Amino acid sequence: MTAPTRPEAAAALRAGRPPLVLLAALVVMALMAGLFWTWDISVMPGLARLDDRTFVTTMQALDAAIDNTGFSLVLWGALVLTAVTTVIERRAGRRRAGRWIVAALVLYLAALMVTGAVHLPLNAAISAVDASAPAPVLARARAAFEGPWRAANPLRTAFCVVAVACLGRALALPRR
Amino acid sequence: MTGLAPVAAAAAPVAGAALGGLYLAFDLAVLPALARPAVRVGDREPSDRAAETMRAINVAIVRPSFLALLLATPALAVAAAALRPGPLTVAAAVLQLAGLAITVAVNVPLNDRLARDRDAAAWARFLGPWRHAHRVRTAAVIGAALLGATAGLDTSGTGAS
Repeated sequence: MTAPTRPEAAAALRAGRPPLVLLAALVVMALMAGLFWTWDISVMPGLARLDDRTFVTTMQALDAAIDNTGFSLVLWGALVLTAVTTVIERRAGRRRAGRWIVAALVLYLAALMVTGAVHLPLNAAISAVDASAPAPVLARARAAFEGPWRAANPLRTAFCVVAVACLGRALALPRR
Repeated sequence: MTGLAPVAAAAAPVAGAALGGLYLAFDLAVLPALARPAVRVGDREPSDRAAETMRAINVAIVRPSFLALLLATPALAVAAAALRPGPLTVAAAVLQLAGLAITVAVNVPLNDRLARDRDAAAWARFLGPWRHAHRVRTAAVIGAALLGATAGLDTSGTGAS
């Protein structure tokens, strides 16, 4: 048995290094999936049972009160961690893992695009409504909001769930 | 292949993080919105609307998919600890069981009381205790997911599984 050369030892050390960033990306991506899913199974079906004025005031309160620091940390954390781990795996020459992580990155970008294209404009529109307006105004505002918002949300949940699966697949590959 | 151990080791933190994300939505958005001192709109008190909204959300969430995640998460954490005992997997299982215990002992009874009570102070009695207990279970469940993921590092680094 011969001692490994210095570059060999360094390579072995690198290969054996635990994929910390990949694991962190997986956990934060699963957090995002759970966050979006809450709106599918609880918040929006619950609000569907409320009268128009309560619906509009609650959506306005949600838009105004959301903890943007905490939420941004998770939202951008998932993006940054996935992007960084793409670079790490590619540099390490693990091309198969790299492909799965790129797939996760693309899926997550799609979820963010749905958010930007559908949810943010709808939130802004309903927040601009005068909550003390007459009933027909509130009914119209709700009708324009609720259907598209609810239809698009399972998309971002699904994108995140499949991204979690892609990251899990990358993690399960043998690390050489 | 060592059978179920790697499956449980991977599934437990993923389920924990998904449940943690679900809880986080309440910490970061739903409760801050409902606790917000709102201006009186129309003929109803803001606290009355908040209570009605929380009741409706609580009714909506009781469904098989959520109950499956709620119960599978601690079950997977316990399975991961039993199949591969270690300080991290055991701590993750204990935290997941603590999260479930808080749900059963505090949040569910408070939900039931809010569903039943219709007096003006019902919302005030609900909000503080529920939110506090909810923060603790969110931290427990996300903490468990991080511990479980860290425990998975030992084996995923070698490719031996």
